[in-house]
Amino acid sequence: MSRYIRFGYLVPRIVAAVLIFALVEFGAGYVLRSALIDGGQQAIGARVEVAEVGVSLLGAKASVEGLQIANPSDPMQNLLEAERLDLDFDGGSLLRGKAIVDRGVLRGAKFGTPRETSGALVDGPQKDSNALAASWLGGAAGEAGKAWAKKFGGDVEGRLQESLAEFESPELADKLAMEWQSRYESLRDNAESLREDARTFRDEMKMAVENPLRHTDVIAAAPDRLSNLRRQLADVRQDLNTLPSDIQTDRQRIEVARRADEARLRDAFQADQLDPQSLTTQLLGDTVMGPVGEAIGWLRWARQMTPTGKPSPRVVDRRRGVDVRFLGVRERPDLLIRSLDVSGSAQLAGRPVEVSGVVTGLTTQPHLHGSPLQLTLSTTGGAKLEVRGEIDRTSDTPTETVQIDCPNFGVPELTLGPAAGLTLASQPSTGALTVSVVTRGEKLEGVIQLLQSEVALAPAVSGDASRLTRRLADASAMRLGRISQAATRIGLAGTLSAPEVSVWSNLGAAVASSLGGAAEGVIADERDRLLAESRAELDTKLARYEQQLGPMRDAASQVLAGSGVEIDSLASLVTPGGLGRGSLSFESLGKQLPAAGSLFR
Amino acid sequence: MSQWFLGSFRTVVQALVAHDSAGQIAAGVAIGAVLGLLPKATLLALAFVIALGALRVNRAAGLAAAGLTAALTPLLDPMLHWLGIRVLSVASLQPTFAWLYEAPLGPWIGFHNTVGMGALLVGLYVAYPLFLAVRTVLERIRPRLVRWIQRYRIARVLLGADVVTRWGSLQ
Repeated sequence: MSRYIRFGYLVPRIVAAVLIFALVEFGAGYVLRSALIDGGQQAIGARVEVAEVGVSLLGAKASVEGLQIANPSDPMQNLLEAERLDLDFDGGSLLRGKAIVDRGVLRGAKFGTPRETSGALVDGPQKDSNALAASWLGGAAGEAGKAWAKKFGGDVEGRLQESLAEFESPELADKLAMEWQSRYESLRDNAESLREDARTFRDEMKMAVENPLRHTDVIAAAPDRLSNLRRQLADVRQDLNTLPSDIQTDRQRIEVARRADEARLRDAFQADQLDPQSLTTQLLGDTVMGPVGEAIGWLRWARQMTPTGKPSPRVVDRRRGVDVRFLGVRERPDLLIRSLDVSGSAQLAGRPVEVSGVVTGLTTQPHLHGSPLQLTLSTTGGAKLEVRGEIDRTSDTPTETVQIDCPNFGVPELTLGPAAGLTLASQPSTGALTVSVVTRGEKLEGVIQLLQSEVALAPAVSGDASRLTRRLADASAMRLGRISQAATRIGLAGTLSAPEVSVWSNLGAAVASSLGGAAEGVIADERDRLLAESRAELDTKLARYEQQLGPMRDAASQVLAGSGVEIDSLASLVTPGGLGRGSLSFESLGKQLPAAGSLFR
Repeated sequence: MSQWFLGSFRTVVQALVAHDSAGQIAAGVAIGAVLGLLPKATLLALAFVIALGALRVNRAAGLAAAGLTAALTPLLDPMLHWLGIRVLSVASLQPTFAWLYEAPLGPWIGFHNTVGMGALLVGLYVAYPLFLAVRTVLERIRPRLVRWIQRYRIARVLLGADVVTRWGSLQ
C-alpha cells in the first residue's frame, strides 16, 4: 500500500483537518453570531443583538441566547426578545449546502418590550410613515358631524340673540306705526283745513246774502262749493273710518312677518338628525386608525420582508461555464425552518398573558419550499387570543392572511371623539374581537369586528364649554347611559399603498339619537324662551303704538266733527231762505227784477 | 514574472532529475493535467490535489502540468463547456446526475458545472494516453537530457542554490 500512497503526506494533513474541524466546532459560534446580526439587521432594518451563539457541527445544532430584535417603527421597543433559540438542523441538508432546520424552539419570547438604547440603525431604512392614515377614512365622512357641532357648539345663545336682532317683524311694526301716526295727522290736518274752508265760505256767504247783487258770483258758486266741501268731508270721514281697518290689516302683516321670523329661527336652530355614520367616523376615527394604520404598516413590512422570488433558472452563469439544474432534483431553499415552537409572554390589553405557538415554513426562498409560512399563536392567562397567519409566496400573487379571535378582550378606558362638539369617555369594558384580513397582490380586504358589553359612556365637556353645551351634555348623559352594548365593524378595502377604511358602529346611531334628542329639547327650550320674549316685546310695542294712536284718532274725529258742523251750517246759507229772501230762489229773484229796458227809460 | 518563470522552470528541471521513475513522472503529469483543467473550488479538484500529494507520483511534474494546462484553460473553456453541456443534457443520465447531485456533498463535487464536467471528461480521456506518451518520451530522452542539464552551470544553480530567492532579495 505504501508503495503507492504517501502516508507521510496524508497523515499530517488528516490531523490538520481534524484540528481545523475542532477549531470550527468551537469557533463557528462567533461566525454564526456575526452572520445573524449582520443578516438580521439588513433584513429587518433595525438593530439585532445576540448575547451568545453555540454551534455543534457534529450534532448539527445551534443555539442562540439573549436575542433582541428592535422594532424598526419604534426603536425604543423590541419587536421580539427571546431568552433562547434552539435550532436542530438537518445534517444531510448541511452537507448539500442548505441550512434546513427540522425543528426550532424559541423560549422566553417577549413582544414589545422596552429598550434601554435605541434600536435604530444609523444608516438603516426608514419605515413608511402612517401620517396619511387619517385620510384613509375619507375626507367628507365627518363633515356632517362637524357642521352639527358648529351649529350647536360654541356661543349658541349669542347666535340666537343675533338671529333675534335680525327679525323683520319689529322693524315692520315700527314702520307701519309711523305710517299710522302720519295718516292720523294727515286726516286731522285735512279736517282742520276743511273747517277753515267752511268758515271762509260762511263769511263770504254772509257778505253775499247782505249784498247779493255785488256777490252774484259767490252766490252762484255756493252750491258747488258746498257740495265740494261735503265731498271732501265725506272723503276725510271715510278715511278716518277705514284707517282702523287698515291698521288691523297692517297688524296682520306684522303677525305674518313675526311668524316668518320665528319659522326662520326654528329652521336655523332645528336640531337636525345627526348622520350616524358620520358620527361613528368622528367618534371612533382616531381610536381605530391608530391600530389599523399600525396593522397595515406591519402588512407592508411583511410584504417587503418576505421575498416573492421566482423559480430558479435551468442554468446559472458562473465564472467558468454554467451550473446545470438537473431534472428531478428537488430544489431546497438555502435557509428553511420547518417548524419553530414559540413560547413566551406578552401584554394584551394591559394584562400579562402566556404566548405559545408554532411557525412553519419560515424560509428565505418560499417559492422553493412550496408551502406558505404559517403562524399559529394562542395565549393563556389574562385574555384568550388566537392568531392564525399565513404568508403565501408560492404563486405569482403574494398573499397574506391574518385571522385573530379574541373572545374575551379587555377593552381599556377610551376617550372617543370629539364628535358633534362633545367628547365621550368610555369606561373599561369587555369585548370579543375578530380580525380577518387578506391581501392578494396589492389588494387589501378585511373586516375587524369588536363586540363590547358593559359599555359605560359619559359625555365630557371642557371647562370653556358654553352653558348650552353643558346643558346638552347633561341632557345626553342619561340617554348615553342607557347604551350598554357596542358593536364596531371596521372594513378594510383598497390597496396596501392606498387603503380605504370604513367604520360602522351602533355607537354612532345610539349617540346620534341621544345627542339629537337632547339637543332638540335643549335648543327648543332656549329658542322658545327667546321667541316668547321677542313676541311679548312686539306686543308691547304694538300696544304702545295703539295707545299713541287713540288720542290722535280722537283728535282727528273731533276736528272732523267740527268741520262737519261747520259745513252743515253752511247748507242753510246756501238754500234760498238762507240767502235772506225766504223761499226766493235765484230764478225768482231774476223774475222780480224789472225788465232790462224799463230800468233806463 | 521572473520569479514565476524561473520557479516553473526549476520545478520541471527538478522533476526530470529526480529519482522518481518515468512512470511516476508521467502519472504526476497526467494527474496534474486533469487538475489544471478543472475549476478549482470543487471537490473534484480537491480530490486530484489529494491524489497528487498522497500518491507516489512526481508532484513537481504534476504541479508543472497543472500550471501549464491551467494557463491554457481560457482557450479550452469554450470547448470544455460545449462538451460538458452536451453530456449534462443527456436525458437518460438526468436521474443519475440528479441522484448524484442530491447525495451528501453532491453540490460541491462540481460535476454539474459544464466546464467542470467537460474538463473531467477531457482530462480522464487524455490522462492515460498522456501518461503513456510522457513515460515513453521520458524513458528515451531522460538520460541524455539529465546529462545535458547537469553539464551547465545554470542547471546546478536551478537544482541547488535558490537564485530566485536571492534575486528577489536583491531587487
